[in-house]
Amino acid sequence: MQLVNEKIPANSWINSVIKPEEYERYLVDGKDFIDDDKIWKQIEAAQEPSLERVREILAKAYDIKTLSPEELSTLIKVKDPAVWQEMFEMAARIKHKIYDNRIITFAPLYCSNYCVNNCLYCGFRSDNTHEKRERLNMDQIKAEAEAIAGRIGHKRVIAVFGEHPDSDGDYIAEAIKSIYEVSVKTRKGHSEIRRVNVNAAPLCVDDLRKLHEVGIGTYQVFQETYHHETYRKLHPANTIKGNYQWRLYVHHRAYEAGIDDVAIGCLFGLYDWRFDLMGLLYHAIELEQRFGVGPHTISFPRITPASNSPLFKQSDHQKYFVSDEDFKKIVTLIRLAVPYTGLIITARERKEVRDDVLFVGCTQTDASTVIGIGGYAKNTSCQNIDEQQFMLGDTRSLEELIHDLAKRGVITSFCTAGYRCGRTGDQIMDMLKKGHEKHFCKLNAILTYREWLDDFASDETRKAGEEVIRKEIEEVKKQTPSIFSKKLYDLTMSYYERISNGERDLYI
Amino acid sequence: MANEISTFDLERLANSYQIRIWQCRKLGRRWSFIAGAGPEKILPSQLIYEAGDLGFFVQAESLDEPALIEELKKLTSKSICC
Repeated sequence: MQLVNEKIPANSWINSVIKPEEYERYLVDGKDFIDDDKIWKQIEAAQEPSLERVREILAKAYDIKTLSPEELSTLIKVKDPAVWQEMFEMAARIKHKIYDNRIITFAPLYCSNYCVNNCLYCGFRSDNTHEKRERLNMDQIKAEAEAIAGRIGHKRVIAVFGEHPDSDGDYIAEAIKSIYEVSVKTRKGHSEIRRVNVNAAPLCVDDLRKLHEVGIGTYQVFQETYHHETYRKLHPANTIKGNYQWRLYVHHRAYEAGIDDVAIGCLFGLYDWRFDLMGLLYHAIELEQRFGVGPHTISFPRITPASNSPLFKQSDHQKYFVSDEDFKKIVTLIRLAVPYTGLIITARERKEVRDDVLFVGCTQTDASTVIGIGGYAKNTSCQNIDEQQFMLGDTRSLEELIHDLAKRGVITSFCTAGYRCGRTGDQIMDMLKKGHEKHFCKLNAILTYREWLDDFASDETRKAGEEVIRKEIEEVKKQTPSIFSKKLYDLTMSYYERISNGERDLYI
Repeated sequence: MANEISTFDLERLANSYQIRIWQCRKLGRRWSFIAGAGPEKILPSQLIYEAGDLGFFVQAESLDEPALIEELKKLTSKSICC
């Protein structure tokens, strides 16, 4: 008999977790919203478009309208490098139109790597005896949050959990509360985690409600691949993750539970990237149509080597691995297809790749990243493949990233203002689609950047950052009173002064 | 215990005070949006009234704050008959 821990048989645990009635009610004629044949037909039917047609589609994206699957499959067929260049530039313009000149940063916080699943590409899979297993208790989770908020200066984390009876809804809810409790004194003020996003297994509605009640930020679950057959091959049927539809409809359950920000994603390199890109778009459209709110963010990690991973030994799968060139196209196409959404590029990618794709529409990234369990408190700087889910490609510190971005004129934002005043869910979605949110992004980026520079920056980075702030304030001045009222400008400047004097967490 | 305000009442307040108003619920350290009314304005968001775990935010150029608070007090304490 297969066990999920010393006492619990796998089958009975899986049956107790999965509640078929919580996803079957969304099926149409017994089918989910990913129609593999239809997607392939759409991809194959599309022809290389004329420049005129491409520009029509780009104009629609610039109006912040979600593209149709046919439009996305048309853009996938573009071959001309000059047309691609135009698409890269439009993706950057759209990002700026919606989110302004800012990049949000966060840290992943791995709480537990016990996992009952056996995904062929993952270092956490249960068959991997090389992996060192650990589950942090609440004191250890607080110690991680203290290091992240107090030593590095992040204000957002994404707490990550393997799928296991010991990291259930109650444990995750306790972890969120523990992280929010932390506050650390800094050079001029104090620092804390103001937004706890969660990447965890698909939970049932009751468990998701527990996360909602303790103030979860975004609930993030990746489908990994949308292709049913590939999903089946990579996620053994006798594991909980083997149930494709339980996973696919977890965001629906999250909305039912009252969670207002959900995030989708897929692991590129498991199947043909064109198909999975279409799957992401179908997923976004499904959420928009059902709930009126699309995904708050989309992630597009590329598969990277993991401890003792069988997938890397299978030559037939390597044909799906995504080149750097295609990766940039993927990011661009997501920005164009779902223009309002946040896009997350992580430290999985090498610095050169991140520097390249950050500017075709990404809005968030991580830095000073440690993905070994308990690694922030230990102040670990080296990577060990047997202690983490995968290998990182970019180990730059937050300070280094901020300095690099500042040199390129980009402001790093630690804004969590939406959570301070309820600009969440369909409220923020509406503002993003109308292009209003960028104005708040701009002001709050200035305020939170000031906090970080005063509390954590070296002299050199502070100098580079202050030049960025000077330019941003100059822009705000120019847009006053046409966009920002005099009253709002004055309030922002008074907050700026108060922050410079040590007050924290002021927002517009 | 405070009651949520109907969208109808939020719209009435938004129109009569010429404001954007929205109600939220406090969850842990954050506010979660429930419903709102009035056009979005590029103005600061001001927490104007709290009742239990409910909070009311407004964006306004100018505002008769005491009058609005008085109305919110009445609306959130309305008993719900069944």
